[in-house]
Amino acid sequence: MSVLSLHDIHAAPWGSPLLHGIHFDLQPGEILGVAGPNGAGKSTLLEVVAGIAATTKGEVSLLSQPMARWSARERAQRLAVLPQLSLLSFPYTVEEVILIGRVPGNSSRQEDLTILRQVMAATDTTSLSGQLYTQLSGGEKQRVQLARVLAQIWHEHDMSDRVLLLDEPTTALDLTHQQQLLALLKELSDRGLAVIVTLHDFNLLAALAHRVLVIAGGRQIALGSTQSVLTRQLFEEVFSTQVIISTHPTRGHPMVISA
Amino acid sequence: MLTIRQRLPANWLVLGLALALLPTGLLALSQGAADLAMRDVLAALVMPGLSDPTEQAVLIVREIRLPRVLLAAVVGAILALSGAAMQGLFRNPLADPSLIGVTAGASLGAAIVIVVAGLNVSSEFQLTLISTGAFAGGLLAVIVVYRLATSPNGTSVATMLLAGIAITALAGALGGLLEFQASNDMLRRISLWKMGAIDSASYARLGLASGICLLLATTIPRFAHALDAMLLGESEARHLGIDTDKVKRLLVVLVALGVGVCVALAGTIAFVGLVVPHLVRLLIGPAHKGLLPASALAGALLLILADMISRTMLAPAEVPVGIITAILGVPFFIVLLRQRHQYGMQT
Repeated sequence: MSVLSLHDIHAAPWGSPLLHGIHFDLQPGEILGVAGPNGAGKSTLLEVVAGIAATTKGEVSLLSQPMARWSARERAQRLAVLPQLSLLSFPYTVEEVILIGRVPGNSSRQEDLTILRQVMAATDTTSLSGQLYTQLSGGEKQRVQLARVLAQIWHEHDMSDRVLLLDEPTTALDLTHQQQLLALLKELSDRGLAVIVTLHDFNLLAALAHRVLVIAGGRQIALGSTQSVLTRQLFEEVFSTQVIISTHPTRGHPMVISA
Repeated sequence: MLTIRQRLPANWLVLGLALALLPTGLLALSQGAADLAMRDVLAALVMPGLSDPTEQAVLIVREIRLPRVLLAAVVGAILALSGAAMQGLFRNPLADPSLIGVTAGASLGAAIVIVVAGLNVSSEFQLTLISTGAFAGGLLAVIVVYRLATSPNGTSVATMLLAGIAITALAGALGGLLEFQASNDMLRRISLWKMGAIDSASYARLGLASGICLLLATTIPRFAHALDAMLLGESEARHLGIDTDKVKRLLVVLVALGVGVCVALAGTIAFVGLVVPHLVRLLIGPAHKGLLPASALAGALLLILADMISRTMLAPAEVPVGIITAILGVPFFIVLLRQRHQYGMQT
């Protein structure tokens, strides 16, 4: 059973149509990478999937149930979104920020604190314990936000009915933490978590995603395995750029090198 | 490595403030144009055997000072609680309950009543009329501001802020026009009213304010988690399952009601709504679960003390309490502004 399915999605959240006929299923444990030029509709797609932007046609289903039938809180227990940047300017501690992720949950304080410890270990934020969020660096803030959204949908063993959406999660991260994030997402996907991630860096995308969705001008251009989608023709058509497609020497996934 | 300053546990602060209310209230009851011994205050209130106060002392404590001290506490609590909620809603530590136009609207309402109804009616009736005008003006202003900020895509807090500033300016200009036309007597009444005072306290007014205070104190803290989440950003709060438009609507209504009643009963009292939540955040951090109740209690304490100073500073004359809160509040606020980075504030 697919955890998320989009059927012929059209959306126009600000008046003019931004998405036309997006169509895909997401299986438990699958990582779907979304790529496309600026303004292609990637962020709108994430908002539609998250259930906070309305569709003009078509339906998003979460666990085979139309998004509209989920209560906001039940939806939030299963689907979390990592934003590109967060505006928080009040001096919350790192722990307080992460625990905001437990707002939609109905667990006890004790369970919340256990989850807090686990997500802080998973996101390498334990060392930031007790610090003020406002005084962290950009990359540290991003990791704390990741810990917050993981706390929202965390389950220690089975996450096969959960979805995580990430919008350009690696932007503020250094190389070490980019690799840590990739490893963490792969580990979570092994536990069943379904992931949709937008990335501009095709090499990160190829290293991470099981399938890639390319959109341009709000239309679905390609959907499939990284090998089948990331081709020279695609880059010429969608990005008007000449690239060389190679293969990663040890991991075997495609590599994109600008020509 | 910067680390968090030592914060108080929120429960301790709430408890401490609650415990401080009673002695502060008793102190305020004993101070005034006529100084009373604490024994006499207690005797007049609850322990008749303790001493033998004069009939006049009993009257002063029960009929004049008690409703006044209680009204000061209730108004202070409403203003500080509303301020804390508005600062969260606007994601801005410098927000104030007056930002949504309620104070300016109320001032205009009061000025209209003072000028149009004139000074011919009897004093008690006049006071009720002015309060009604202020309340109506405050609510009307908020409704306009809220409508301006609401589109089919939802309510924008940034637009609400700008609309609040615009409506405040408009109400100020209309008020100025009225004052320009008013006689000297009316002008003095308007300006005294604007400075804020709790000298009109009566049990009827206290009852009204207490009812509203109770409503706010039982409803606004339920939004504690929603306000924490909304500080992350509005879409983040929606991703956390929070109906942000509903939260905004209900909070604006509650704050408008609370501040409207306060302005109607006590005029414009500056800086309580702005400074008190700031001070509390400095002590226990910004999480709303502790911030909201602690702000309400601290606001009550502060206004009891400010009102006591207003009665005693130039006794037997009274200095409007709004002047006291501003004189106490502004230097304090400036110190906070200069130290804001030390406690992690970034705006």
